[in-house]
Amino acid sequence: MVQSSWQKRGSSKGVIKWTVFFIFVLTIVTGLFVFPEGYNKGAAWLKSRSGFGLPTIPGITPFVFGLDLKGGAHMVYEADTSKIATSEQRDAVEGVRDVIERRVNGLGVSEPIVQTNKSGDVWRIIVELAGIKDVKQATDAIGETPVLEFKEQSDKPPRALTNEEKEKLKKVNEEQKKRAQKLLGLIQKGEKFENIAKENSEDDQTKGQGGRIGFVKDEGQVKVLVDSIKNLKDGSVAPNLVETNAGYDIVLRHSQKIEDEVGASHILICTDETPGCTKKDADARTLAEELFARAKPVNFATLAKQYSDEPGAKDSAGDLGYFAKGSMVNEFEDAVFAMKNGEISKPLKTKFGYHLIYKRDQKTVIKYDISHILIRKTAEKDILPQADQWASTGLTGSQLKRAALDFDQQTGSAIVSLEFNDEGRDLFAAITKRNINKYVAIFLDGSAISIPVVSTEITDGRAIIQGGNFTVTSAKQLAQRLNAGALPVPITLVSQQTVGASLGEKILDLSVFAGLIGFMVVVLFMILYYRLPGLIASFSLSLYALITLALFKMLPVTLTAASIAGFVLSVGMAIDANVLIFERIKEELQAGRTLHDSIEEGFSRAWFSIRASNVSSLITAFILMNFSTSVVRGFAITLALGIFVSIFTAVTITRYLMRFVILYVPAKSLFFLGARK
Amino acid sequence: MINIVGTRKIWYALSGIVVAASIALIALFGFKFGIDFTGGALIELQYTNGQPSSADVVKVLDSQGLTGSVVQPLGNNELLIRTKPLTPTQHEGLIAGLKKQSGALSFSEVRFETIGPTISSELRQKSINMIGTVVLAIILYLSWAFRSVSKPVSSWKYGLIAVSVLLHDVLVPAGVFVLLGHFYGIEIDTLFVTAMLTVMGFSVHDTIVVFDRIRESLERNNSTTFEDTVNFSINTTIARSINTSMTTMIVLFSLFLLGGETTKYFSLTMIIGIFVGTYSSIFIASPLLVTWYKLQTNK
Repeated sequence: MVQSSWQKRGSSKGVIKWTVFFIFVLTIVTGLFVFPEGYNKGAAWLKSRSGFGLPTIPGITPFVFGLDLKGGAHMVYEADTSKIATSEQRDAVEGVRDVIERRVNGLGVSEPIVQTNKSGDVWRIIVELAGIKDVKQATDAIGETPVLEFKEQSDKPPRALTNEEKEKLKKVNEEQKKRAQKLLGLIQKGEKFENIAKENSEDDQTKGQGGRIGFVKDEGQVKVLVDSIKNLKDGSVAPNLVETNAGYDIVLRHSQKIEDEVGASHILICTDETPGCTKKDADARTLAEELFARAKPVNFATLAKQYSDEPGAKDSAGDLGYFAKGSMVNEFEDAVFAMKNGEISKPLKTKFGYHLIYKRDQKTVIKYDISHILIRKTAEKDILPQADQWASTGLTGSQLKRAALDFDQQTGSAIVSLEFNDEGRDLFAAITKRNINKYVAIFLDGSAISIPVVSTEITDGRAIIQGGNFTVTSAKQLAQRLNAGALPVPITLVSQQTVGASLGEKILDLSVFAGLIGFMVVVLFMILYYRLPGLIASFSLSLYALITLALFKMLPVTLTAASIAGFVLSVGMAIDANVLIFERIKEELQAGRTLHDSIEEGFSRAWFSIRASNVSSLITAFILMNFSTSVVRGFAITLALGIFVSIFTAVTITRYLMRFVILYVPAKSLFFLGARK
Repeated sequence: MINIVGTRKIWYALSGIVVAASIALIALFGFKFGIDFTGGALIELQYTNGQPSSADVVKVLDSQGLTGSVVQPLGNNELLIRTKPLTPTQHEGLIAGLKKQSGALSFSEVRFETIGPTISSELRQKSINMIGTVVLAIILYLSWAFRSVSKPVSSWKYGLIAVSVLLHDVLVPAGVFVLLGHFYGIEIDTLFVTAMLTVMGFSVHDTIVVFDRIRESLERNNSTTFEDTVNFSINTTIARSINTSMTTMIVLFSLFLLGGETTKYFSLTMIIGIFVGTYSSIFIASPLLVTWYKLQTNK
């Protein structure tokens, strides 16, 4: 026989009486706690009738109702964390949660609930807005949240084009080629080159002048162009398109000339005639002559790097490349053209100072005066999406403290100024520090709105967004959106449940009504079948209901239609324990025991069954509690709570009440339990 | 004393037929899953002065690109529309379209639910997981609770029988709902799964009480046959079993008849489940013990 330690066999009369008194007090207290309004109404009525005043009780804690009873909206958003490193995902999603909560707080809903939730690999944000009248307002407010990200240049190598993209590229460039061909055709038919160039050339630098490049040699970037017209007469256009990496060219030759060019280097010693130079003329001259004595073709470059005052001489070693007449000052030019190849001149004075010239060689070149029309090709990098070139920095809208409309000091155009919070400021400092002289991009809703070059490390946590097409209105709007909260990751609404308030009220009323009716029928049944103990059990059951409801208020437990159903169900099951006990007691009575002994025996023997059977229901309830729908969880919690309380009331309260009652009832009274022989 | 164990073949036959029928129904018609499991959107509209015809509403749905949607009039000026999952923009567009079309008839949207495919497949998976866990937990618990009764039938067999009876208790309401789904369009949602799980817990609850009585009787007197002990135990617990189920059914009926729409079929599931559960605890569970014992000893 299984016995628990707290089930003593019988208690002294004193203990029984005190316990019963305590039970009575408990009933009143819980009753008042659960239904203060009812009591207050009753007291008011009493006062108006008899002038007898009872103290009123403040209605402290109301019941907490779930969405389906109060009306409101339940929304689930999924966050797209695909572009964020796994270690940072939690922070990003928490950031989203904060931002959404900020936005939702401004809607005037009391106690909005915004929670994050991870299911497998997917991060979700659950938003519950009880009592909200206009759900559209909420989804708009949340949906509008802009996604602001700061990105730096990625050192990931650009990905290769997909075959699809390569095909597309080929096609596009073929179109371009056709276009160029058409233009060439027009020129060949007699259209003026200049006009076609002005309208169609994609070389912005020369199109204004009818595509005129001027005199160039056949080297460097223009070599292909020159080669195409070398052997043509003046004024003719190359018969075919010239294809380069940049695009397709139509080339026109105007004329050619033959020039002498000299390849030379020099060392410049400046004098104080040149602003910024402090050397006296005499000193400069002496130095120049000293250098002249030392200078030889082999060491000229070294000497130039060391002594030349020409800006950049350290890198260029004074090399002037090839130049023709007309590029240098007269004295210089005359001297150098007169020199022999390989010669180093004596110090020569010009307005810049004293020069030592080393003439390497002289040659004759042909220069061609050409014009061209360029139709550009699309390059690979033009098709590759921008995003691949950029990497996230972790600096996003969630570290933004404030955004404001502002005006550029110099141009007066509208800009948006940003101020970061502490975390943002530090991040931004680090980002700017490692990206000096590189681009940093500001992305809004997935596209770059501004790509400034970082000039210095920014440690004050402020930044500016200036876009080419910001008007005062659009900049202001953007600042507002950013202020209301900028999300670090994009979100989509995947599930939404809204219940109108009126429907909710209806459900609540119905559930409560059903519960009450059910309760009363059960009580009736108990009294009819088990008579006096049935009455006791009913009282115990009422107390059970009050205690459970009080717990609902205190914890608090959110009541939904399902959880009220759970409560109602547990009322039915609470009776179960009592029935078990009574049946046992009946048996013992039939076996001939005294009333007192039957009761004690009945309680202790029934305990194993009560425990075993309720545990299985509890197991189910606990498993259900791990289900993420709040509706199901609510049901499970009320069920579990109900079971615990019912065990307590049945075994403890009923028992003491029974013990109390039999103090006044004759022993061996079978009728009293409805038992038949 | 009613000879339940002796007449057990009748009860086996009865249960066998009902279970077979349920399985057949499930195989034939399948469950009618609600949007919780299939994904989709549900809109409930309340009209104040007359409602438009379903055909008119379908026209609006088609014009919004929502062909294949279902319109269900619910009586007292209520309309239920089911479509595929809707984004907020689509939802607004639909409401605007309906407003335009209904003209003088005003309505308010009392309920709107949209569940995307990821959520619904999750719910499906979770439901299956839960059912499996509950079954396992119950077997384990029962084996442990009855560990002291290893003769003449070992304790894990009690657990196994309880679970088989449990399956029986679950199949019958399932079959009923397949029928309801097929003829009345009643859908299965997460509340249905919840109700089923509660029924499972309750069914075992009931079976345990009988088994407990058997255990006690076995401990007390080894003189009577196993068969007689079991029969005696059942008889003494009938009153108890019926009464507890009765009280629970009373409250459930109250909920079913008077409670709100959302819990109506929830309570119905449980009513059927608990009724069948009580029946099976009395007429199937314990007789099965005897059958098993007989099979064991006749080997």
